[in-house]
Amino acid sequence: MIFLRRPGFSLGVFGVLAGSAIYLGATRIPFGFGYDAVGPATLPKIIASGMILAGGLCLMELKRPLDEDEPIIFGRLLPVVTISVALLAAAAFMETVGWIPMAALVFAAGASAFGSRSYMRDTLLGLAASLVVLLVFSYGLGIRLPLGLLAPVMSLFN
Amino acid sequence: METFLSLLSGFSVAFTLQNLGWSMIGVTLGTMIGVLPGLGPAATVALLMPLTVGLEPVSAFIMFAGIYYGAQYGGSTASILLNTPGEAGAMMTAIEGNAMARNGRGAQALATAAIGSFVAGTIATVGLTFTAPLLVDLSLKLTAPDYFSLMVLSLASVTALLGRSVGTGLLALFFGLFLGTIGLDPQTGQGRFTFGIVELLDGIDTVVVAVGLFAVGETLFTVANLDGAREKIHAIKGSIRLSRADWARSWKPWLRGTAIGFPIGAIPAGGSELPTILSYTLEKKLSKHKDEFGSGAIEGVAGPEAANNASAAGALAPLLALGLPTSTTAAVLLAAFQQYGLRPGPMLFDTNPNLVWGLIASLYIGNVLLLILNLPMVGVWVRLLMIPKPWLYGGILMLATLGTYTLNGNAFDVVLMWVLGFVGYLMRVMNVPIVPVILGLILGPLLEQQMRRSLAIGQGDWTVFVTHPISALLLVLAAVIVLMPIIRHLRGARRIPQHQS
Repeated sequence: MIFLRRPGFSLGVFGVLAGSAIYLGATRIPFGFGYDAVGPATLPKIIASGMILAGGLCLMELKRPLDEDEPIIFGRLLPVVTISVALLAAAAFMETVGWIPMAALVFAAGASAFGSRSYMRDTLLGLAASLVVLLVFSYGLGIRLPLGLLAPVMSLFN
Repeated sequence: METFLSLLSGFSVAFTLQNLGWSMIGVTLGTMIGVLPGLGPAATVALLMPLTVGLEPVSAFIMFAGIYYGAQYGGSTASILLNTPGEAGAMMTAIEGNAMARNGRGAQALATAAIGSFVAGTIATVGLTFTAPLLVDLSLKLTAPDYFSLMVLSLASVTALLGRSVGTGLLALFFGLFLGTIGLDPQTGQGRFTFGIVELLDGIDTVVVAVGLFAVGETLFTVANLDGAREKIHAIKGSIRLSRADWARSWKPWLRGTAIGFPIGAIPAGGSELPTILSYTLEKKLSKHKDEFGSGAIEGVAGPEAANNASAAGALAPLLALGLPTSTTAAVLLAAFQQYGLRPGPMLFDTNPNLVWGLIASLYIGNVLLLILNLPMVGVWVRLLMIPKPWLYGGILMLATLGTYTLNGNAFDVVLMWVLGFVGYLMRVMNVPIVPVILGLILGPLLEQQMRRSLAIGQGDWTVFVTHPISALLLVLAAVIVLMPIIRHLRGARRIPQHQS
């Protein structure tokens, strides 16, 4: 796979394709009104052209002998996926399930991705930390974090 | 004299018990988060931004100033003891500092870094005090096309000076500029590139980008390349006092580092990377102990650390006086100003002198507080480095989620943070510089505004950018900076086949 063996090639192709897509998108921006001389589509078009040029430049800069290029090494992907799933789940259920369980999930998932195997301890620690954060934010700073499922419990303390 | 009086009034603002308290909280939190491995000052300031919501602007910025300086100090502790520079500016400190720590001289490395940062920070803050008003006078003479070209120059130099290839640097820059166009066009109210997502109409927050690309991206990259080996923290042995010989070898590098760091920090040259490299090279050249370089020369810590802190103060001059960020951290600070509906620039000195001068005065105070925090209490910060990695990164991810969520109380920002974190991971994997993305994102909308204002003045005539002499000069400079490496590359590429034949 040339895409993996030559990062410059992948980036160049990305620049040209993304730039073209942005240019196309920019042509669909309706022209504004008023005293504006160039309208809202001009800068996006310039940026798109710049991106295509930059992509071309990446392709030009490719090192001649192939083996001098550093191949792309993604590393271990499982922990990356673990953290990603936890963050997306936190975003999806933040309002309904609430800050405390979701923040604890992010903490525990992060810890397990970094090799910790004491899931119970990590979860408890995450719960404790997110509770402290919630209390500091709501009582100290007046910033509301979603209580979610714990709303009935927390209301007892008010 | 006028400057002196303004500074005095600034001190009267900063020296209230309340603001001293915020400054203290700021430097403590800044050091605490900055000391965590892999988190540089920009990510630290971005992560801690929600904490200032609900404060008076003056108090909030005094706290920010503390966080900003604190993150600089904390970053050097992590570099020295753990060899994990959070930002390019700490890389040079990590080389000699970590070598010193390996030789059991970690305490001295930390001491010269802390005292050097104090000396440099204080001198550079004096520099800031007197150059900022001069820059304000200068900026009043600049027209819209000049501002436009100044930003182009700023972006061009960041792109060309950082990173190994101009192509990837430009790609990162244009990606950042593109992110900056997402949302409602401020002049016509047209939505751009929102893909039908309502949350994108407000645009993408700089804080989300900084936290995503730096904190989350760095975490994903670290976890993907985890080799299981425990990093070694080098215990601090003995007293943190510097010996007479250490003082003798440190004070000149501190002053030289300051002299290099402040001016380069103030010009658009990409922040602290360049001055720290220059300082390191200079100290290596001037040192009587050249053989020690690479295995723990104290000059190699003293100089770059001073340069790093001086450039941090230097970057505040164009930020406050022109509204022009020259480093990522300054870009995040600009975002903080914008969140309070404030526009840094010449007008801010007129409309909000208490804030500007209170902020500058608090930098002097913050420096003193940091010296106290970092010399006798360094052991406390070292403890933070001993937190097991799983908990450390679990905590960083939790902080990142907290920071982005509380920004607008919107879970969509957390999704965006993950997307950008993944992009940051890919960029790290492919060796694409991240700084141009952040500067492109924050400067893009300002650049567009000045561009359209210039064209409105010139009635749509693009030559307006070259008929104004200052603007023309700045554009030529920008073109030279970008084209030089490309031409050099093309020449080099042509020469190789000749050699082979």
